Amino acid sequence: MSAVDGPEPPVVQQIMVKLVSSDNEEFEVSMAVAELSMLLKNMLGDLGETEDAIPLPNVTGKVLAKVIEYCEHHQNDPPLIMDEYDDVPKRADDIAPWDEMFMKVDQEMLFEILLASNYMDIKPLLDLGCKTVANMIRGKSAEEIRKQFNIVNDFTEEELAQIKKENEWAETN
Amino acid sequence: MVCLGHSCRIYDAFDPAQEDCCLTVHRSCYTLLLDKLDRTEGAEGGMLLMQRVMPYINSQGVVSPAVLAGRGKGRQRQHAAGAAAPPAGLRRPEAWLTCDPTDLPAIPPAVMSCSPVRGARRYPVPPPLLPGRVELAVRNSTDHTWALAEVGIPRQLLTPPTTPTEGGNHTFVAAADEPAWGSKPPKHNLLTLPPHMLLAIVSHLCSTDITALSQTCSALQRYLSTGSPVWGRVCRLALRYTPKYLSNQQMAEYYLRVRGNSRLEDRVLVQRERVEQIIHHIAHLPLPAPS
Repeated sequence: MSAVDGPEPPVVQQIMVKLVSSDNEEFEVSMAVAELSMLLKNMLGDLGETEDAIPLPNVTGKVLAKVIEYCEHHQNDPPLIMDEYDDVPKRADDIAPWDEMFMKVDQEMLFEILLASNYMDIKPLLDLGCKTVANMIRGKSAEEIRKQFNIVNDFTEEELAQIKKENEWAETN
Repeated sequence: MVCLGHSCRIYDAFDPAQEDCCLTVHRSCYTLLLDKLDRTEGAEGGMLLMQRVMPYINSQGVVSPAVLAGRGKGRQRQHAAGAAAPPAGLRRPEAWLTCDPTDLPAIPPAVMSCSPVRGARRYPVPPPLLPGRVELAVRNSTDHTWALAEVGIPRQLLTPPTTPTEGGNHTFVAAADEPAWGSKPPKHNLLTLPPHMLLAIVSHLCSTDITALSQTCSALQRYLSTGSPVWGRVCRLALRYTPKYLSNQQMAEYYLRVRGNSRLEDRVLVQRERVEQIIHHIAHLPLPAPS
């Protein structure tokens, strides 16, 4: 033993949690990561420490991997303090660079992440997804939004003419 | 502070013989007062409290009791004179909390008709705007003056909603025909999201984007019409505040007017919070000494 050797720092045993996706892919994450999901936090609170894998039947492995990536990156974030007049009004232009890169996925995946975050009750991820979709809508015309989100234009000719007429005032101002 | 808001006349003495004895109070203060008094004191108690509160309100808004506390005899003099004009010490603009300039003239029939004391005058209520109209400050190009004018909003946002209904947890059904994304249409899109998620997305948008979104298809047009019940929830999501006493349409107009205008957004929330606090405080002050 050398002179500088002191007592060994205590090894913190991380409690791990197993998650199983709808396509039976298994993931192992730390408790801190899992607890970013209110669904998992409540489940783990009810079950206590368990060796059993927690099934997530509404989330595929591909999406769950992305969700875990997000939670691992944000596991040390300070908890949100929700006050009546805090964080208002909501802003969509305050996305952190890492989050922005994280959300650069195809639209199918984006909506899957949104739905998974809703199901798993991960509010920051849900907010991030909503902001991302809002930013995709912002500044676009109705036609551009249709194209972007594959929305079928089901207006009749008369309704379209009416819409065009109603919009004239805005275009001239 | 300059207030471009609506105002309405309010009687400072509840004597029907005194037709001209009134002063002007901002609509949000007035609405908040009535609401507060009605809820906390009941009808007759509300009338007494209104007399108590009167010295603290003026056309510039609600004055802080802390400011009033420093002016001594002026308060009694003002009260004796019927509070028609604020004393000199209160004319400083910073002494007043101006109210929400975006308030819409919406006071529910229950409040409009409260006339608890026999012979007492009903609270006068400002005339409502026509459906689908909003008031905006308009500049006259010839003499460069400003005036309030009623301006229409796109009719498309006025279509009565048919679906989805309020509070439903169902999802939209996307039109089945015409797959626009080649051979493999996406599994999810805006129309397949649960309504609360769609609302969360809408709460990040301002009026031009919401208008564009509402013009994409008939389902979104109905959902985002001004008569739709979603606007209260959108206000809550975006501003963490739901204006009281507003119809669906008025709520939509309120939201579309405020959202995206950071000056209004900030003012609305801060002013409302302050006015609510001060009214709460005033309501618990002792009655002023009789003149």
